Parts: sequence; C-alpha cells; structure tokens
Amino acid sequence: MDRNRDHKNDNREASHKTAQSLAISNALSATRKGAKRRFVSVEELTRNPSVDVLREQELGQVPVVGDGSELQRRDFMKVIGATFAAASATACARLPERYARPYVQKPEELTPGRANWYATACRTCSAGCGLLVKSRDGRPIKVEGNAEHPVSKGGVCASGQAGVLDLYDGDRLRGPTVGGAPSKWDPLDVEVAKQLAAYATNGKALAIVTPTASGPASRAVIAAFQKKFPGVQHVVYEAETIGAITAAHALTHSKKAVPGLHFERAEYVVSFGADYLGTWLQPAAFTKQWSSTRAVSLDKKTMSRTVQIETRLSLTGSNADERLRILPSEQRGLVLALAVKIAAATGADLGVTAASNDKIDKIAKDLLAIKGKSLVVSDSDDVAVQGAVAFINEQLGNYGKTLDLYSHLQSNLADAAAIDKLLADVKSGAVTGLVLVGVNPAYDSPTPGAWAQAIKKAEVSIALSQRADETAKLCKIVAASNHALESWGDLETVAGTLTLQQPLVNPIFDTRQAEDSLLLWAGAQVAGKPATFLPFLRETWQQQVAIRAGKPADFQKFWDKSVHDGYVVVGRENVVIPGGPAEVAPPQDASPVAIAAEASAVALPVAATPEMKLEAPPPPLYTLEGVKKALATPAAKVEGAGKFELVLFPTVALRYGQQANNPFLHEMPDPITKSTWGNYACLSPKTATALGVGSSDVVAVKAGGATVELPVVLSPGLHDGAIALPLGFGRTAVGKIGDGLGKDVRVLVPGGGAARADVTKTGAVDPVAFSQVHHSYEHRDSVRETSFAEWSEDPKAGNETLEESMHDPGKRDKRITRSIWNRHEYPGHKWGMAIDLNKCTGCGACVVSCNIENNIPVVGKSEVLLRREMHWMRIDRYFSERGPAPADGQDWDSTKDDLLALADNPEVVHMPMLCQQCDNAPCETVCPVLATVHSSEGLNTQAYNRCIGTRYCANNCPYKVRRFNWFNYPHGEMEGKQEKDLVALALNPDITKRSRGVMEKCSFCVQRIQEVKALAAREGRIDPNANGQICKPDEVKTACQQSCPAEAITFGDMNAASQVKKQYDDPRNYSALVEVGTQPAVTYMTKVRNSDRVRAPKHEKHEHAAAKKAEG
Amino acid sequence: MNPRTLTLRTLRLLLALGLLAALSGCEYTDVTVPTYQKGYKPVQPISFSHKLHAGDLQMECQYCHFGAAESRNGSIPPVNVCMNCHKTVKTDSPQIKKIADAYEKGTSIPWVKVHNLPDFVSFNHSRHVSRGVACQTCHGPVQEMPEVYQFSSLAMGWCVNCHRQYSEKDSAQFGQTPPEQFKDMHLKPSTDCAACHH
Repeated sequence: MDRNRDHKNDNREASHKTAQSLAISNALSATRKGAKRRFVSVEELTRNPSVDVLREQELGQVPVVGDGSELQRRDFMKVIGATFAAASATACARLPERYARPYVQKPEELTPGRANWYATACRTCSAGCGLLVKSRDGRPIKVEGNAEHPVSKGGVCASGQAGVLDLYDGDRLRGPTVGGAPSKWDPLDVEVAKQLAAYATNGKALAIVTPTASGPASRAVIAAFQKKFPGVQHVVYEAETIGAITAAHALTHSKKAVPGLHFERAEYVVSFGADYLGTWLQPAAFTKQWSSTRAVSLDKKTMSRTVQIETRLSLTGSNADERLRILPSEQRGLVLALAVKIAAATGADLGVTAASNDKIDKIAKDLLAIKGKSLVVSDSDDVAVQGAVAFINEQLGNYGKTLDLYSHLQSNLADAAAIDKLLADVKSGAVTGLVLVGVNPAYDSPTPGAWAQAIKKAEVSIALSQRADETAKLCKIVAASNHALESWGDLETVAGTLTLQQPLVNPIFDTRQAEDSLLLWAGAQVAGKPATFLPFLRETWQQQVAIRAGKPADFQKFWDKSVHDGYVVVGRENVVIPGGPAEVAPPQDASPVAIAAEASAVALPVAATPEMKLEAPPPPLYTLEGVKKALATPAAKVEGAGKFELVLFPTVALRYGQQANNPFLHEMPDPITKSTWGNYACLSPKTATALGVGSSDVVAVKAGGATVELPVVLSPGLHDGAIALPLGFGRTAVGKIGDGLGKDVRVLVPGGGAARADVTKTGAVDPVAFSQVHHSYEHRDSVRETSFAEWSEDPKAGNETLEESMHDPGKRDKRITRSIWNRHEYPGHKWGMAIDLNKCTGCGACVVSCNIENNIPVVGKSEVLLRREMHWMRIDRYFSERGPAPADGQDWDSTKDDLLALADNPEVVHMPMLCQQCDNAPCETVCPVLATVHSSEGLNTQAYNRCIGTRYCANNCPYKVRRFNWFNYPHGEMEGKQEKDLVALALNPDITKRSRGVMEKCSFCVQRIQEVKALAAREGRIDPNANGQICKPDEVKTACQQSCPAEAITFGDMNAASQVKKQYDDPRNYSALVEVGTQPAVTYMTKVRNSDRVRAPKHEKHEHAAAKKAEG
Repeated sequence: MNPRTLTLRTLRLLLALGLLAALSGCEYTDVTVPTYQKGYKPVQPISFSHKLHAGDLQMECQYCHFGAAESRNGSIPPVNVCMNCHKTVKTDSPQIKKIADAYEKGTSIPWVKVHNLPDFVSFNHSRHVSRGVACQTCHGPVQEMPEVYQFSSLAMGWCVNCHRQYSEKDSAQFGQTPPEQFKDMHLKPSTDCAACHH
C-alpha cells in the first residue's frame, strides 16, 4: 500500500479518535459527580483542543511523508536485509584486545569493583547538609544524605545530588590565570604577593568577600588573612538575602542571629512567602522535619497544619493545607494584622494599627489555641515584617520550642549593610583591593551592575573561583579553586553541630583549594611550616573544637571519628582565650560563638594554652521596645509604576544560578510548572487570557528601564496582579550548557528590592519544554485524597473504591483483580514500594538521584519538546480546585462554569511516577522478543540487550513510564557541550549500558538488590527455606528512596515484616489506576489534607461506574 | 533509464553503504557478543605461568586474586603482591625483572584480558566464591595452564545451565542433580534475566 495513503488514513483515524476520547472523557467526568476536578495544565482545564492533539500524538507525530516517490517499504526491507548480511560478514573478526591494568600498590581501603563511602559536607548551597559520597575506584559517582547527620538527617536536595556532576564539568577553570592569560601557581603567587604588599600596612583599603564561613577553621583562615593585612574588611556575601531576620532579632532579642527552626515540633506552620520546602535556608533539613509531622497512620493520628501566604505558587505553597494568595506589597500589612491580633489577645501594646482581615483573624485564633506549638516564618527583606514575626513567635511562646536562639542558624551570615558599605567604599576609593573568594556577585547579587563596576574600579582584584564566571572574568587575577569534592572544610551551620568536609578525589585540574591560597598569601604557619589547609584545619580543631567537645583524651581518635562520621556535636559555649590580640575587630556578621572562635584563631600557630576556657553564650533578651523599633522601619519603596508587581524567585533546581552549567538540573522539571531548560514568565491564567497569550507565547516584561522577552507559562495559583520570573538563568560565563540559556531577569530591578512591571504581547512564540502534558492517562484519575477530618473518622476515607469494584472477593488481598493470567508465585522476595503522597513535597530530589544512579542521559530542550526525555522517574503534578468537591455534581463545563476560577488558587498533588512493576504487566504481554519479562521476585525486568525497540511496550503502558533511546546520547544540541571522557567518570559502573533503539525504564534499582544479595552471600547467610530470601526486609534502599528528604518512599520485601508491607496493609494504601487491573508493586498512600474542608459527599458508586466505563 | 529510477537506485546504494558503515562502526563493538572466544589465549606481556604457581607450587588462587571473594571483579593482583615473593625469589629472571621494573617505576602492567564479558552482563565473583564455587568450574584447570586460555564458552546457555543444575527445584525439573557440596546450603541460583542483566 502506498505509504502516503496510510498516512491519510492515520490522520482520519486520529481525528476520529480525538473526538471519541473527548466523548469518553466527558462521559467520565460527567459520571464522577462529587469527585474533585483535577487538571495538569490550564489548557486541559479550559479544554483547549491542543491538549487532545498532544495526547493523540503521544508516541510522536506521524512522520512527514512526501509525494510518494520515496523508498517504499519493501524496497527498504530489501536494502536493510542486504546490509545486515554484509554487516554480519564483517562481524566475525576477533574482538580488540582489552587490558586489565592492576594497581602497582593497591590502596589498603580500596577493592576494585567495590564502592567506598565517605562522609563529607554538601557545599552546593549554604545549607551545609551532611553527605555520604559513593566512590568507585577513586571516583566520586553518587551523593547521598548522611542519615546520622543531626541537621540534615539524610536529606539532600536535587541540587546537592546533581553537584557530583559539577566535579566533572570540563568548563571549570583548568588552572590559574593572571591578567586573563593562563598562568602557573608560582608566578601567580609572586604576583599576588606583589599586589597585596601595599595592604600589609594599609589593610583598610583591602576587602575580602567570602561566602558564609561558619566552621572554626574556615573562620580561622580569614582571621589569619586579617592578621596579615590588619584592618582588612571581611564581607560575607550570599546570593540569598535573609539579613532582615538577623537585623530584626538584633532588635527584638538582642541577638544578631537567625534562630534555629524546628518544623518537626510545630503543629501549625504559618509562612509568609518563605519557601522552606523548596529553596529557603535549609530546604532539605526542613523537608525532613516537616514531613515527620505529616505522617499519619493507625498508630499516629496527628498531623500538622501548614498555611502559606504568598504571591506565586511555591513548592511549599503547593504542599500547604491552606494557602492565601496575596500581592508582595500586601505582606507587610497582613503580618502586622496578625501581630496586632496576637498582641490584642496577649495583652501587649505594639503601638501600631493594621487593617483587620478575616482570614488572618482565623489564623490568629488557631495559633493562640496552641501556644508553643506553632511556627511563623517569613522570607521578607523588611525588618519590620521580621520584627513582627519575631514578636508573634515570642507571644505564642514558640522561642525555646520551635525556634532556638541558642542553636541558631549560621548557614547564611551575609550582611546587606556591610555589602552596601563595601560597594560605597570602592566607589569612593577608600577600598582599592578586592579578594573575592568563591562568590559571583557580578551575576547573582540583587545589584550585579554595582558589583561589576566596583570590581572593574578596584586596582587589585583577585578571584578565587572554580569558573571563569561573570565575577572572575572582571578580576585581574584568578586563582582557580577546587570543587567541593576536592576540598577540605568545616561548617557550623547550626551552632553546636560541626560538619567536616573531606575531599573524595585529588584535584582533576590544576586547581588549588581557596583556603590553601589564602593561607599562603597570609603567610600562616602550622608547626613552623607554611600552612596548607589540612594541617591548619586539624590544628584549629585541636585547639577550638576539642575543648568544646569536652577535651577528649585522645585527640587523634576524636579527629578520626569526626572525619569518619562527617560531623561532631559539641557544646554551644564560646571558646575564650584571654589576651587574644585585641586589634582584630570582630566581623560585623559574627555570632558570639564565631567572634570568640576567630579571636582564638588569630593566635595560631600557638598551641592550645591552659587558660583557654569556655564561656556560656549570653541569653537572648527579648524586649517589646526592640519590637517597636523594628516595626518602625519604613517599608521598602516599590520601583516603577507598571501594572504588575514583579516577583523574582529562585527555582527549586537552579536556585540563584550557581549550578547553571549542570544539565541534570536544567532537565529536571520544575516541581510546579513542569518546564525544563530555560526560564519563562509566570502569568496567572486570567492575566494571560486578558493579554491574549497562552503558554509559550512570548511577552515583553518592562521594568527598571529594561525589557526582557520571555515565553509565558500559565501559572495557576499566581496572583492576578503579579508576574513571577525565575532567577538563575541568562548566565554569560558559566559554561557551554548554561550560557545564554534563558534570560537574566535581575536587569529589571537594577537597584534590587521591589518593583512593578508592565507586560505586553510580542506575537512571537518560543516553545517551553514541558515534561508532563504529553503523557495521557486518558482522563483516568490516579490520585486519591481526603481531608484530615474525614480520615480521622474513617481511615479508608478517599480510598473507598478499593473495597468494592472489580476485586476478587475470594482472595485474601482484596486488591487482586480477576485476571485471565496465571498468578505469579513469589516464594522468595517480593519487592514492593509504597509512596506516601502525604509526605511527598514534589521537590525532585528523587528524579535527579535516579538519573545519577542509573546513568540516565540528558537529552536537551528540543528532545524534551519531542517528548523524548529519558527520566525513569518523574513527578506528576495535579492541580485541583481548592476546597470540597462540588456536592451537586458539577461537571467540567466551560459554558456553565468559570473554569479559570478553578486555577486561581488550586490545591496540588505531587505524585511520583515510576515503573509500577505490575504483576499483570501490560508491557510484558506485547513484547515480541521477551525482552521484558517478570522475575521471580516481582520485578518487571528489562533485558536491554534483547530489546529490538518495537516500542509496543511503551504504547501499552498505562502509566507512561517507559523511555525509548532514540539516539546514543549525547545527541543533537547536547553534543559537544560536555566532555565525554570527563563526564564518563561520573557514570555508575554497576549499571548496564544502553544503546540507541532500546527501551529502558525503572528497574527498582535492581543493581542495588544484587549488591545486597552479594553482601548476603559474602556474609554466608543461609536461607533456611531455600526460596532465595536472603536479604533483610528493609535492607535494600533504592536511589529514590534514599534521597527522598521527606522519607515519602518505602521499599522492601513484601513477603517479610518490612516497612513497605506495613504501608501496604494501611487503609490509606492504594494502587494507581486500579481499574486497569495491572496489580502494581508500587502503591501509594492517600493524600490527607489538614484543611477546614467540610466533609465531601460519598461518591463510591460514581467512582465504580466511572471505573467500569473505563474498563469497558 | 528513467532519471528518477536512477536517483532512487543511487539513494538505495548510499543508504546501504551508510547503514553498513553504521552497523560495523564503533558504536556496535560494545554490544558484539564475545561469547564464542573459547580457547582464546592471548600473549601476555610477562610470561607468567599459572601451572608453576597454582599447580607445581600449589599456591592458593586467592592468595593473588584476593579480590574474587570481596568484589564483583576477579581482580588481577597488584604488582606489590608479586613482589611479596619476588623481592627475593628469582630476582635475576628477565621476566621478574619486568615486574620489578614496573614496581620501581610505579607503572601498571597491561595484562591482556582473557575472559571478556559484554557490557550488558554483570558477573559477581564474590557471590560465587563465597558460596564455594571452585575457580576451576568456570576457568578450567588453570593449575595446568602455562598460559591461560578461555576454558568455558561463557555463553548465556552455559551460565544458565549451571544455575539450573545447582538449584534444587530446577535441577529436578531438568533431570539433573545438584552437586553434593551444595546440598545443605539450599541455594537457589536465580535464572531471572535481572540476575545478570542489570
């Protein structure tokens, strides 16, 4: 048959099917009375025809066929047959010789083929999470959380996971440069010594800018530098600005610090804009804490309530029980309203007035009812707001319970005032020398332009940087510094908990640790020799940490244990050395602990003196006067007079853009927008409709005398009066991947602070690469949810359907559907997974972890647009209307409803989706070559070398979790952007290689299962029942499970008394798309929202009918 | 001849050549199955005799290949293991001098791999060694080989055959009896694809 005619038929069929599926979906939704209306995009909500077109083309568009003159199928087969014959004739040759090169002297702790794990610290952001890094044959290949670490407790976010790839980034600096030309270390040191010589007597004209140095040795390095150049300004710089919290606490509690936060003790969290689960301060640690309050089971019938008051839908907002949508400018008024309400109830006189607000009054009432068990936070830069927040927490008795001013946070000690002063000093000529250590303010500060000018003006500009980034490019001397995995370091991000960072690998390039450079330039000595950082670090710990740790008798043992564990918990007392040099001024940002630590550090290399003693830190002193002072701070001026308030926000993956050359983070879909590669303008659906634009239409955003053109992403939950633009894009000097990707939106607010903007349509289109919209569940609903009130009454709430429809009543397990297939027997292990939708925040750490563990290729934007992303694990994000489901059975009907109103402030469910390892796997039955078969342990295995790439399996998978290798990656736009030889070092050698033309998917991390089995064999475990069950019930941990900061994923043996079995037996447990009868090994736990929702009407019967219909 | 037909023929020829190039190109060397290399006996850089060491001198296999019990890799011994004895034994032999030279200079010896498995198979030595499978089961009478060669086919059928034979259940099914030494260990060697292909 003519190929062309086929195509026409296909088209006809496609359009017919589109109409049919629409009819089905309408019928489905019509019968689902009382069910919540759920949508994955605004287009789907408004029934935009483009959605159904996308769905019909789910496996790709029909190829373009020409005028019929091309090769016909039979001819093609002839040719290809001949080619195979020829190819097989040549394939008889011997393989090339391969070599096995053993070590000359094998390192004692290293066994080729076995991984070593080392504890270290994450330095991708300032949070300072504890890590365990997997090293194979000396190469770090996988980052996991250190479960014993007291702060992060095993949590690592997506950025931290992806950090290991930064190590193998060929775009890092390969050596030092002087005056822009490649140099060597000796001439550079000579040049630096010459340039800095003048400052030895005139230190005041020199400034050293560093990120937060919280560890004692990190501080001591700076102190040594200060000693060499007396009077040198030390300015702490971080891209994230939280200085208002510190400033407010200086006034309210006479302690210049950010209090330690304990979400795990809070029953009620109110956040004004702070995205504490996504990007704010220590998101991984906070997620860990928060999720522990969200766990509900038959044994634990309590649950926290989370209220988010914000402008754009943040990750935290998407997980909040209640969410108020406000403008940025309204925040101050609302916080004050809450403060006034709390003041009135507790008898304090604030001396301010604020307009009353019903919803705030309700929150105040709730908070007052549970004093000491709530937590109020804000991300505001406004000292008055932070002062009011501190006041609210104080009045509610939260200090000492959910907030801790003794074990305060030191992860971000940046001081905006000091930065402003430095910039002014450079401008006035008072400071002529800048040493910039691992910071990039010329890109990621709120005022990059001012920084660029300052660096250009400085006579001496030295950058200690990993990259020739925007800042280093402006500096005359660039000392190439190590990646964190090549460096030593220490941190004290929470006072009293010290984290030790050890290197995993020698520097790959000709780089030098920044601390080494600083110590050398400062002429510091340890034991009479010029100091490098490791002996310096050890000596500092011997002097300062050991005394705080109770003077261990054997310091070597203490040190070894600290390095091994990666952390040490010590007293919160300050180290005081009488007679320490008085001329060194304490840095402005420092906490009392830190000041004392520095004072002692300057005395280096003098050995610990007997007079050294500990001093209890002064208690915080709360005064109402301080609060009043804070509240008197005037509100920040809003620049410009545009129609919309402008929100610039860090994304969960890229934050402030430091890792903009990391392809994993670009390809990780944003948790809320589900877009990849590049930034966009978030417009609320109503705003976009008013402007006449839809997703991917380009708009021009005008503010601050600049215009930025970005494609639109329709963003449910965003306030109609605001537009939100992601930070971290549009870099110019980060590397081949990040350069020119997206737009830098800081230009819209050149002075930093708040601004208004105008938005106009340009008429251009720039497709945004979304990851979710192109998979179709044919309108089947895979989410189950309920409210806390309902669940408390009935633990099966929201999950009632399981009891009834389609289940085999004779079976022990009601979930086993009737089937025409013989059931599989699992005499040994039966692997299963349960994902708690109540804990999952959608942060994406599992996605990146899976990518790295399984060597999943990055495909690039154009391929994502062709729905060819390779992620084995994805997180589906569903929006639904807020509040109870309509009792009267309202349907999706654009003629009756204002559908866009549903997207004003929707509720969100994040649902991780991976291969469900079905017992009745639809993929297995259609594979013509038995490449995908069922294992005796319940795995749906994929033998890649057997796969011939028919893609039937993907077509037949109701969960859309199979991924086809269209190419050998890197391919297309990704080609040449990474150095293959270098990136190959990051690959996991325990994973099978997949080439193009092969289907791949989640394997339940079968390599980890096999690794545990090998361990069991080495330990000589005997399996008495001869059924192969030699792993302990919870012994195997999949990559996604291990990395989940929320502990939402449990994995284990369903045939044993495992955690996952317990979850499986919980009434909340359900199988996704149970109506298709696949009997997945992955199950989910019903989402429970702790909202004030009234009880929704029961709707099992409708569910039943709908499911039946879908089945038929 | 019709010019269009001519173009088509040229196109076909080009396509055939292109596919031939692609198939025989480097992309596919990684997945070429090298299982039928039975008897492969490459020339090694140093003429080390297993017959002398493992046979005549009766040294334990795992004295040198100590990684086999610990790791998936069988482990070629590091040079310092050779030097444990050869610091004093036969130091004047030209072959030993090669080792001593590599040891002095810190350069690795490029032994030619005899047993090559394709990239899509994982074989874990430690799982087999720790369950008591003798090295010779797969590697043959190494103690009699002056030069090591590939004794077994290492083909999938060969692997699976053994896995079936050693399993109590499967061995009955296939009319085989498990070897005596494994009788009480209740082993169940897997025949799942993912046992090796992962």
